[in-house]
Amino acid sequence: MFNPIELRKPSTLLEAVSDLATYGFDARIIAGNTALYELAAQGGLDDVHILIDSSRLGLDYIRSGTDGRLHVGATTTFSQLAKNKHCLQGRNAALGEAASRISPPQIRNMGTIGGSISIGLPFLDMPVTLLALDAEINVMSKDGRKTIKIDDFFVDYFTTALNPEDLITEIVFPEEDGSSEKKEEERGGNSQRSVGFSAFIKIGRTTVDFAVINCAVCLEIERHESKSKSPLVEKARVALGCVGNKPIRRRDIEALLENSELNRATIESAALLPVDFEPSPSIHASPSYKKKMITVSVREALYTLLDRMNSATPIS
Amino acid sequence: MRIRTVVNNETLDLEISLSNSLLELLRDILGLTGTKKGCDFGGCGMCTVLVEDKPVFSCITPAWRAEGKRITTIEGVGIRDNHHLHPIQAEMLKNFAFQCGYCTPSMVLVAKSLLQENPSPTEQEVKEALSGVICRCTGYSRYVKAVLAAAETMKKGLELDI
Amino acid sequence: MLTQQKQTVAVGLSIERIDGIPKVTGRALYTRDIKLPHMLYAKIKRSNHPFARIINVNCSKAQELNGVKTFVVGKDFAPMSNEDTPPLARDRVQYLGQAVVAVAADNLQIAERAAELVEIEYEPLPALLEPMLSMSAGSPILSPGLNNFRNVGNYLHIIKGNVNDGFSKADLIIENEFSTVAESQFQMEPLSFLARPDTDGGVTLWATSSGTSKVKYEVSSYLRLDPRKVRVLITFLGGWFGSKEENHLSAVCAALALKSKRPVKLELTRAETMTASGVRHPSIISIKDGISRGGVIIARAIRATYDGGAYGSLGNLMVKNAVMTASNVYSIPNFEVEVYRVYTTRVPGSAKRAPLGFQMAFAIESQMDSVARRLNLDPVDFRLRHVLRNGELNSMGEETIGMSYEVALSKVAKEIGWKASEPPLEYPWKKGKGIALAAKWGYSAPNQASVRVNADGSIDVFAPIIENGQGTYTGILQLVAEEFRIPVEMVNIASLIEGSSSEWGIGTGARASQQMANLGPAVIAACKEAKRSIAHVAASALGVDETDIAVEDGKIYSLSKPSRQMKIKDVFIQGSILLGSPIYVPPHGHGEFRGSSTYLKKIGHFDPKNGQLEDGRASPYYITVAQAIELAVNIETGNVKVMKVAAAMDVGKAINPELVRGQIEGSVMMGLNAALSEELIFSEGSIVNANLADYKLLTSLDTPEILPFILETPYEQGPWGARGAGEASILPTAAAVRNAVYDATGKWINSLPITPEKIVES
Ligand SMILES: Cc1cc2nc3c(=O)[nH]c(=O)nc-3n(C[C@H](O)[C@H](O)[C@H](O)COP(=O)(O)OP(=O)(O)OC[C@H]3O[C@@H](n4cnc5c(N)ncnc54)[C@H](O)[C@@H]3O)c2cc1C
Ligand code: FES
Ligand code: FES
Repeated sequence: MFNPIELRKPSTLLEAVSDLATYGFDARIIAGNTALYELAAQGGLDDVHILIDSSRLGLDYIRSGTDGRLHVGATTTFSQLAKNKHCLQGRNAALGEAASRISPPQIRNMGTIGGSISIGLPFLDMPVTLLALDAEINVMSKDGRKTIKIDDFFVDYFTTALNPEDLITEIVFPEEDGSSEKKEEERGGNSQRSVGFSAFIKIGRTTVDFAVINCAVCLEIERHESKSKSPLVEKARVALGCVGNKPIRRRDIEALLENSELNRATIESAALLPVDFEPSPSIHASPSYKKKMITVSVREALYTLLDRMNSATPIS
Repeated sequence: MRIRTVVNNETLDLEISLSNSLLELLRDILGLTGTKKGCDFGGCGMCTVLVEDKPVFSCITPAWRAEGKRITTIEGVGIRDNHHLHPIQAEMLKNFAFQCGYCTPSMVLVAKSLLQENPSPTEQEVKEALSGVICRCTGYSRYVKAVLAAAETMKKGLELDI
Repeated sequence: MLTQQKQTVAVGLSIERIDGIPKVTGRALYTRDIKLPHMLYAKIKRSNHPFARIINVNCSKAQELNGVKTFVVGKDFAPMSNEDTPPLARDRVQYLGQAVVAVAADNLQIAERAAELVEIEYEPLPALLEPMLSMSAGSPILSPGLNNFRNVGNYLHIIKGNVNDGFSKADLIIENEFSTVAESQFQMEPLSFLARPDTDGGVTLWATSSGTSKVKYEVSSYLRLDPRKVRVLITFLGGWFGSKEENHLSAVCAALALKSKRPVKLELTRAETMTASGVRHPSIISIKDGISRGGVIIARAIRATYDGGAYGSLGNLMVKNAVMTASNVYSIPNFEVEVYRVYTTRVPGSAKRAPLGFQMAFAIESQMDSVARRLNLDPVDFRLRHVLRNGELNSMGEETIGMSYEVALSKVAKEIGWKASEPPLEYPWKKGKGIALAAKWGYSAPNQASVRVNADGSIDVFAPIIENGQGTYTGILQLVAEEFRIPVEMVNIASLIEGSSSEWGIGTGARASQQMANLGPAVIAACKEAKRSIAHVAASALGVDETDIAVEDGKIYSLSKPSRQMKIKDVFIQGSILLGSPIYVPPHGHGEFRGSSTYLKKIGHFDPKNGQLEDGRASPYYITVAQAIELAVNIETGNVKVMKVAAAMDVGKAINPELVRGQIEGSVMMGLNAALSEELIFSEGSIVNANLADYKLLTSLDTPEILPFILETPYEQGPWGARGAGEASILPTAAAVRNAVYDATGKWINSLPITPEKIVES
């Protein structure tokens, strides 16, 4: 039975990580708490006696850093994400979209981005989105700070790359135009830079529901001047949730998209690439239906992106 | 443990236990039974209250989170005396919005929060705001109608928003 | 009752709900909200086997916990008939989740811990989780049931004409099988009970239940108590929908209170409520139609098997719902319906809005469309060709009276734009329209009511009214205001404050949409009796005959000499003097008159061989319902967006039109939920989705535009012509959805719910 005996209310990161270090497995960070009562009822918190409140750490921010990247504090709520202009446009549009598709509204007011990825549930809407957006997770512990790449973050059901003494401080999203320096090198000094777009698609049984399939896609395309030309995809990240023990990337689709022009034909062939794995069945849906929804959601995401690219103002 | 919180504009010093939920604090410690319980781990919306004017599920909010916060429950809406209703309540009554009434306190509160933030919501925005409160009796549409009507009344300033 | 021609003062008007202010301010009291000093909390230990013999129950470890006060077990209760779930299992458990032991402790945490520590040793038996398995030879007998059929608890059979003859003459045979699943009522207030031991050795119970009398008499038999010692109070209910028919839990709570001599509160979790309320009966219904060259159904055979789960739970009434739904609406010369309610080792099938009838209407109205489309006929025209006309005999040989099938069907077809050609929706959405028709029978049950007339002319009503949201407090109040022709503010429903009491007389409660039709007349009769006693006293004062007196608008006057009149308060002065009355004479100008009455409408008898009516009527009245639905299907994902529902219901007379519209809208919404989403999923007898993440309910974002239409074909014996209004409108919804999905996609989905997955995968 869940029987907490002490509440820690750290007001600095150092205090927080020192609490985590002191109590280890005995302690739990409490963010939005939306996952914890159910977890407790299932016996998942029987060993936890110390609660560490993360709400006073000053981690509820969304800001565009001097490095040109978007920094989102771990305790930022879904409501904040869904409203913030940085999360609603360009390369990060999927972030705001995913946040606003998390339902119901009360959960958006409570749940946090940090809690949502720490819990390690493959069907939630944030993990798949962060995977597509190539986010980095900044983590702090008493040993110092580290950065975990999202590709390495999710491990299994209820398991992430976090250690019990780790605190997620923030999630960082690449610049609007991707990691430009490297690209410039790759392009042999060509100064033309890319521009990123993303989209999030959620298929549920009803409007307010967990996803049956969720899909996030982020494409970086060559910046182009005229609208007449199909955009050239430089980099693609296509992520799916609800298919196994962690969100996955469809590297086959990404490979097909990269260096192709995004148009009807590309989209159709990308979406129709056979799903060569068996999605895990759930109470919500069979593997066969999920396979079909993977195709549907990838296609929809790509068409959405094409629309967005076409309506974006071409910048010279 | 002891906390200080403000419930319906009244500052309170309370003794709670660490495992208490905000719902238990309200119903069992303060006897504010207008906030209901309808499910086990969140989702039905019956326990909705406003924390700093934003709707949350009190059943999965730890009571200690109320520390230093402003909580609004249905008991804090509208009643100055037995006759004064908030325009949202008045419109719900007028539009036959509810039936059993079990979801009504939550519906009133989510509507109140919405109209505070967005005094002229569209029908879709109202539906969105109410979507975290399940109502098993009605078809929801009268609730939506009532909230839209209340928005009109409030804009005209016919009633005081309290 | 339909003779009055005057403009009404209350009836037929949409009077504001009298429970409105308590509800919008959060002050309405529900069972969960009531607490008593020194009360204990109870928790139930439930079976984790679908079918097992109980070898041993050991409470000793639990007993040692500090704060544990009392336990009760199965043998603390009198054994009951198969119709009833035992409060706690005795020798064996017959479903997973069945209550076995109950414990009361100082607080809920201790009670929960104690329940965990109770040790029950089981010898598992092979579970019978499907009706077909349960009925097959060699299965263990779950319940004595009926002689000829293994494990069939209830069976009804109606035969009209000769179906085999009909089939042999038919030019086309179309046969389909339809299936429905278990659903939860999911009333928003989980089940709650509070029992207080009383000084006479009896108990007072606050219960989430559908009716005071039911609890009183059932609890007293379970506990072998004089019924006079079981007092029941039912406050506001947070919805009902059939969830509160299982009164065995009241008995458990009462037993704990009597044993511990302390008040005991029993609050079920949502997951427990979903089991303890019982579920909508899963069903398999096959319909075989023989059709003539002219496109007329000349023979129909229906065979319906309902999974009744472990216990009877009103089984006889349930199967009657099924045949009543099947035997009306259409005129088919050769007709047969067979209904089986089968025992299995699953959660008991119980009542949920229009129980068994809902499943039957889904099957029949789906079949009607399948046949019409196959014959290339318009589904509306095809139905109109077959509907029973007033005066015709239905399949039970009962004359059709007061039905409005044609009107209702035409109305909703028109409102939805049935034959209009409309531009297609943008890909991937496809639009579809569907229609369905049905009739709900009216239940007949005894009800008592009394009224008190005060000196100022105000009235208090003491009637066991159950207010679960439908608005019956308000509706009954309107009847009383009308009867005395006084403003509604002058009438008070005593139940409003503390709930309804079993001590006010027999109350069948909020079941089977019967309150207005059966309690309503009792209330009106009580008013009339009160008026008679006023007239009796006033007669000599006014110097006219008793029968010449009218009581109206706070005045008492002579009908023949209207100038002779007096006020009610003056009667008390006159009355007490004139009669030399033995009653207490209150201070000048005060006093009270009482009137009370009982109402029960008799119904007829059936020939057990063929279910044909022998005398009287099968049902006092029927309620016609028709619905037309417009929806859009996303043909890629299978998601359905219902856009518009036109729903007509003939309630005889809408005492309060807005309340009736509310019933239509709520029924439609619940029907849409069942059509598109709700399904309790079982694994080895265990409900695996007893939570809102997995048992999906529609929200405000899914709600369509619902256009409710009230039709008013009076039912002569109803109050002001009223019939019931609570359940009927759920009957056609699921079939109308299914038929619309076909219209949009060309796919027939014959099983509920019509999930996105089924649409895509079929
Ligand atoms: C009714 C309901 C509906 C929902 N609907 C959706 C939906 O539509 N889509 C969706 O994606 N999700 C949905 N969710 C799930 C919800 O998103 C998660 O419960 C939520 O994201 C968890 O975040 P939290 O802040 O509440 O975390 P908490 O519950 O506070 O914590 C969750 C876990 O994360 C750990 N943790 C929290 N913060 C940190 C940190 N900074 N560093 C390290 N560890 C940390 C905690 O210790 C804990 O183990 C729903 C939940 C409910 C109850
Ligand atoms: S009680 Fe259901 S959401 Fe809180
Ligand atoms: S009015 Fe009953 S749940 Fe909404």
